[in-house]
Amino acid sequence: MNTIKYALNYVMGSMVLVGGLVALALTPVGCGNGSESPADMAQVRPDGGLTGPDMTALPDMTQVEPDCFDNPMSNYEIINACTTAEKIKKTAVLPLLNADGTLPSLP
Amino acid sequence: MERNHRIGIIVATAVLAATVAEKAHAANPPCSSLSNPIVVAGSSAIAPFIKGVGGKLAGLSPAYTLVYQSQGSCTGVNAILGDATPTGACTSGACIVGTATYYDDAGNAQTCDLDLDGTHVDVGVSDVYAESCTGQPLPSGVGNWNGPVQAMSFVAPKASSAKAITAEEGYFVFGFGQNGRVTPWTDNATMFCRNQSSGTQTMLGDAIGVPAAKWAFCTDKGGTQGVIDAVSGSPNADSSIGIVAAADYDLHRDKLKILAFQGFKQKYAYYPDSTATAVDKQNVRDGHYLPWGPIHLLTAIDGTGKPLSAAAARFIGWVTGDTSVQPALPVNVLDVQIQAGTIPQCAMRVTRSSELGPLSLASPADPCTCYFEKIATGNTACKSCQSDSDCGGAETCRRNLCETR
Repeated sequence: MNTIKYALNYVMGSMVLVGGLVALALTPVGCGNGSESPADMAQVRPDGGLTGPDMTALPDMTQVEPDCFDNPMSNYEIINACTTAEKIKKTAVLPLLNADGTLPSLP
Repeated sequence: MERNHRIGIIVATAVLAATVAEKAHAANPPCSSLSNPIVVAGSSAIAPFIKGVGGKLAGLSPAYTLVYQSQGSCTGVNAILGDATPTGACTSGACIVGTATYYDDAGNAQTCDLDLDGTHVDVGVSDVYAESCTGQPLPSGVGNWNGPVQAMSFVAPKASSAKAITAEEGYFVFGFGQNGRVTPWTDNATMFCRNQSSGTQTMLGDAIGVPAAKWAFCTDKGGTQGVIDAVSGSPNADSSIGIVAAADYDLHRDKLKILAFQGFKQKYAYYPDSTATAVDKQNVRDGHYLPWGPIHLLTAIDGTGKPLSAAAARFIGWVTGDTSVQPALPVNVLDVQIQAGTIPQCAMRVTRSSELGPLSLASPADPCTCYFEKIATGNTACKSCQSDSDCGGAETCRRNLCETR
């Protein structure tokens, strides 16, 4: 009886493992050739222009945006294309930024 | 007796002063008397090109004389848009007055006098689209031609600890001044800029979302050299910031530091060049550095879109590399453009159709990326060639270099 139980558990466990591997294989991961991303949708700031930082919703965990894009096609991909050039990561400190991440109107 | 003596001295002094003034004025020839004058006005961006070809054109037979007055991009735009009678008498404010620069056949800069009643401008030169100056679409009687590309930049003193500025930071710095509280740029007294007629300020204003007319907290230094002097001479390196064309920064790298720029929606900040010390303008050419645009050449046109002024047609053809224009430019126009710190259209791998507009990939009919790198940096990784057979299948031999088709 225990042997049958162990065997069933083994089979069930194997099916879960295989199912998980299949699901993982089918999950699209950013390959650098993505089309428009959520960050590409401009938000309008108070004076009608574009907002600054991309304060988008939490990313879909099944789709991870790449750090850069190979073979860029869209404007967003071009300006964030992969490159050997020197690049600087800067986290701006903006005390007057609105709480929702938008820029306040100009004085 | 002594009184008469004093009167005599006063009269003699006045006569002497008038004579000196008359001779100084007489030393400048009238611009209209120069051989085949072509009157160009507006942005200082075209000055290196004029310097590079002016002397050569003056040495032709017959000679051609480029007459140039630098005033600012939007003033150049207005000189064309505001000239309702380009082939007739000057209407008020439509023509330029004062003096202008031209080059003699030895390549020396000289000064000539414009007509007292005003001189029509053949070509207005602007760093930005005319619409950016006027807020209106280009009128039907005016044509725009795009010349080589130039980039604009934020600069700091050499000793500044700053390395980069984001578009959001620029928005607060130049839109709010020290009240924007963006460290280290927290002192209005050390923020140096231009004015709303400046193409530099207009273009960078677009890049950071602050219209040129709303840069209310920085100090207008009147021109590029004023900004360079103010930034480099500022006693507080960290809080100091200014704006210049990248080509002007290149000429003053010993005094200034260029700040990498991160545009809206960009993940990183980039220099115009691939590194802080390179001179390849790689990031402008491939779209990583965003504040750039073509030099705009404006002139009155007829119903078919051709310039009304033959002089204008000639100048525009020379600048844009139209080989059908006669006489042919006696120098290699690509070399002149590159050596002037601009980027020929053929070396660009991205393009845009509006001020700081979205980028798309470019496919020039006659690419010159390799040639640009060779002239700009003195080196290129591209293969040398004599014919297409020397290159790989996806390349063609152009200017003795294998360029990607």
